[in-house]
Amino acid sequence: MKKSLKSVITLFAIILFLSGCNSISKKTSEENKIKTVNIAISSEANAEKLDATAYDSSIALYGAVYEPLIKYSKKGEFQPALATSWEISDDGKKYVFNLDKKAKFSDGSRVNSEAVKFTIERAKLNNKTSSLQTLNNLDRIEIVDENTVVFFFKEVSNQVLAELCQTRPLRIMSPNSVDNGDISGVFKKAIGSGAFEITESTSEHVLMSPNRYFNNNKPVNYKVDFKTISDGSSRTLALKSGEIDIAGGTLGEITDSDIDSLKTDNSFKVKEFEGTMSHFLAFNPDNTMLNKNIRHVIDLSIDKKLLSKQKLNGLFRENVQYVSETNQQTSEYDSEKAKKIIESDGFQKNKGDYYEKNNEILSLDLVIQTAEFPEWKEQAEVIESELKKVGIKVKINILDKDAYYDTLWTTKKYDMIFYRTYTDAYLPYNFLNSLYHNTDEEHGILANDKELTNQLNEFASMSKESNQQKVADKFLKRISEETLAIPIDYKNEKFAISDKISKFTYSGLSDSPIDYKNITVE
Amino acid sequence: MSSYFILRKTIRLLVSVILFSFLLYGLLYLSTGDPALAILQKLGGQNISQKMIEETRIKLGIDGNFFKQYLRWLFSLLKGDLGNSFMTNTPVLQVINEKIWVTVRLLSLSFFSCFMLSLFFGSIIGNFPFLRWMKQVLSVILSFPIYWLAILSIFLLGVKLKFFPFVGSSTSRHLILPTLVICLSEGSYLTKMVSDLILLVTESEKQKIAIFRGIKWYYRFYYQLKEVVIPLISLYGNSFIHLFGGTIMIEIIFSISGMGKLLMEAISTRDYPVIQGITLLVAIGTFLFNYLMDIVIQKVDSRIKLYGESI
Repeated sequence: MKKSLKSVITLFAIILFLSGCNSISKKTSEENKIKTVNIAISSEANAEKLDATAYDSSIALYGAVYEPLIKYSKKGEFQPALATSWEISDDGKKYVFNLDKKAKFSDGSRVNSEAVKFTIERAKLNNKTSSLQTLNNLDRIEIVDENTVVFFFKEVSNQVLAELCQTRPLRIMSPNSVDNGDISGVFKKAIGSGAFEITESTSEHVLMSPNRYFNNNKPVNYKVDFKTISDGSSRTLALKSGEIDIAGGTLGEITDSDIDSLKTDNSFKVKEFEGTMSHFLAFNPDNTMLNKNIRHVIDLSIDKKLLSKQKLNGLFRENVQYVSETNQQTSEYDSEKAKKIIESDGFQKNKGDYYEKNNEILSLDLVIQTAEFPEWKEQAEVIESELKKVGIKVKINILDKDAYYDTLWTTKKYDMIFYRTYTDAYLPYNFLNSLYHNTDEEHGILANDKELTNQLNEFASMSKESNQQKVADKFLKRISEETLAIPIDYKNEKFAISDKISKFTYSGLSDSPIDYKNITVE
Repeated sequence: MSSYFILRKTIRLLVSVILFSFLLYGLLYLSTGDPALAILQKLGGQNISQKMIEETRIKLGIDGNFFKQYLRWLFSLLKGDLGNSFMTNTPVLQVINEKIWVTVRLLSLSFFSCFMLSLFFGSIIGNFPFLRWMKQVLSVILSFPIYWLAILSIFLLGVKLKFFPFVGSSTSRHLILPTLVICLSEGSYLTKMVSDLILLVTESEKQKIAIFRGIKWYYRFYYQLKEVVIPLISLYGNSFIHLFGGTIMIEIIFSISGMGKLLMEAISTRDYPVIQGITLLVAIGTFLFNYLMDIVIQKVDSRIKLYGESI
C-alpha cells in the first residue's frame, strides 16, 4: 500500500514537472514570433471548411481571408474593392465589373474574371434555397477579358451591389481552393485575397499569417489568432488576463456591464461605433384586435426614453440607406391621447382598471428571448408597466432561442414580439421584403399590408437610385403611419481592445467588423 | 457469481438502452425549436416560407409520424450508423471521435486527482479528530456552484496572478485550472464522504486496539480501506458518471472543445443526430459502468447476493 501510494505521488509530480517544462519552452519560442493579435470569437471556427461560397465556418473568419468585389460604406454608398469600377445597365439586368489588375490571391495567382465567374457560379450551386437576387436572378456570367466580367440577370436586380459586399457567400475565392478548379469540386483550402491566410487551425483556435500578396504586395505586419470562447464572462476575463486583444461586436458580444467595467480600466480601450441594427416591437398580423388604432395607442403609451439612451425616430436609424429625417415619423409619447383613441374604438375600463370590449380584456402576450438579447427582459418589463398605466394588460413570455424563432416563423403564437432588423446593406429593402412582404400563398411574417407589398414590389422593379428613393420614402412612411413596428433601441457596435492595439478601425460592416488594413499593433 | 446473474444483468442492460433510446427520441420530438428552421437560418435564409421548412424537414428525414422516424433511426443505429450532423453534414461518429479525446483527457485527469486527493485528505480527516473542522470548510466549498468556482479561479489564478492559461486545452498547463475547479467541487464531496466512512470505521474495536498499540495511521488506513471498499467502489463509480455533467460546464467556461461543449452547441442548434449520438453514448457508458460496478462489488464481497435481490 505504502509503495503504491509513493509511486502514484511520484507519477503526479512528474506530470506537473513536465507541464511546467512545456510552458517554459513555449514561452521562449513565443518571444521569437512576430506580433500576434488575439481575437475572441463566440463560435467554433471550423476553418477547414472556410469555403467563401458556403456558410460552414464562423462568420468572423471570412473577412480576414476573403475580399468582396465591392465594399459597403455609410448610407448605402458602395466603394471599390476587388472591382475598381462597375457599370449597371439602364434596365438593371446587366452589371459590368472591372477588376483590380494587381490583386492576387494568397497562393500568388491573379484575381481575374475566371475567379469571379467561378465564385459566383459555385455560390449559386451551393445555395439553392438562397433568397439573394445575385444568385436567384442570375442568368449567366460572361468573361470579356481577364479583368472584365459581366453578370446578366433574368430580371431587374437592384440588390446585387448590396449583396456582393456582404461577408458571405459572394466574396471572391481562388478556383485553386477546390479540386480541379471545378465549381462543384470538393473544397480543399481557403485561398482568398484578404489580409490573411490560415496557417494552423484546431477546434479551439485558428492562427492566420499575413498574406504577402495583400494590398498590392503590402501585407499587414502582424498575425491574428482567433480563439473560440463561447462564454461571455470568460471572454472578458481572457481580455483582462492578456490572452485576448480584441473582443466585442458580432465576433463575440460583451455585456454592457462588462463594457462599463472595462471603460474604467486604463489597460483597455472601449470603442463604440454607430451600428445599423434596430430592435423593435412587432405585432402579429393574424390578431384582428391589433388594428391600426390599437397599434398607434401602444406606440403613444410607451415612453421611449425609458427603453433606450438613443433618440428613437423610427424603425430604422438615420445611417440606413434611403432613411431621412422626414420619411419616418418620430413617435410621440402621449398617454392621454392614447386613452382617447382607445375609448373611441369602443373600449371601456373595467374594475381592474384595464380596458375591455365585449367583456374581453385588452390583454396581449409579448414574446421575447433573452439568450441572444438579455436586455430585452428589462425593456419588456418597461413596456408592460407603461401599457398597464394606460389600461392594457401585457403578459411577458420569455422563450429559449429556438422556441422563440419557432414562434416567430412557424407557430406564430404571440400578440407582440421583440425582433431585430438586419444590418448594413440588407437594410431597408431586404429586411422588409423578408418580413413585411405578402406572397401569393401567405401574408408577411410581421404584417399583412397589401399597399406596403405593392410598394416593395415597385421598389424591386426600379433600377435607378433616384426612383428607388421616391418609393423608399413611400414604404418608410407607410410603416410609420400604420405603426407596423415600434423601435425600442438602436444598437451600436462595441469593442474592447487591449493596449497592444494602438489604432483600431471599424470596417463599417457589422458581420466583418475589423478593418485589418488599418490596425496598428504596438 | 452465476451465469444466470450475468444473463439477467445483460438483458436488463439491453432493455434499458432500448428504453432510453425511445425516451430520448420522444423527448427530442416533443421539444420546442425546429431543426429545419435552424438550418435555413444558418444558410442565410431571409425569406423563410412554410414550404421551405417542410422541404428541409423531408431532406433531414424528420418528416412523417413519430414511430416511423424512430424506427428508421433505431434500425440505422443497430447498423452502427448514428446519422450525419444536420449542421455540418459530417457523420456523427466522426464528430464525436474528434472531440471525445479532449473530454477523456480532462475527465481522467480530474478523476485521478479527485481520487487521490479525496483518499488522502479523507483518511487524514477521518483519522485525526482535531482536523474534523475541515469538513465544515468542505461543506462551504460544496455550497458554491461549479460555475462560480470556475469564474473565481480564473479571476484569481488566471487574470490576477497569471499562473495558468484558461482558454482552450492546447497544452497540459491549460488543463490545470479546469482540473483544479473539478477537484474543488467534486473532490470536496468525495473527501467529505471518504472521511465520514473512515470515521465510522475508526470507532470499531479493532481500530481502537490498533491506535492503542501505536500503529501509524497510514498502516491503519490500509485496513480501514479494506472495510469500506464496497461503498467506496459505489461512491467513486457514481462520481465518475457525475463528473461528465460537471465537465460540460467546465468545457464551456474554459473554452475546451470537447464532448460537453459539442453537446451544448448541438442542443442550441437542435442538431438531433449529434444530441442523440452523444446522449446515447453517455447513457450506454453509464449503464455499462453500473453493470461492471455491480459485478466488481459482488466479486469483492461474495456475501452480497445480487441475484434474486433488487440491486
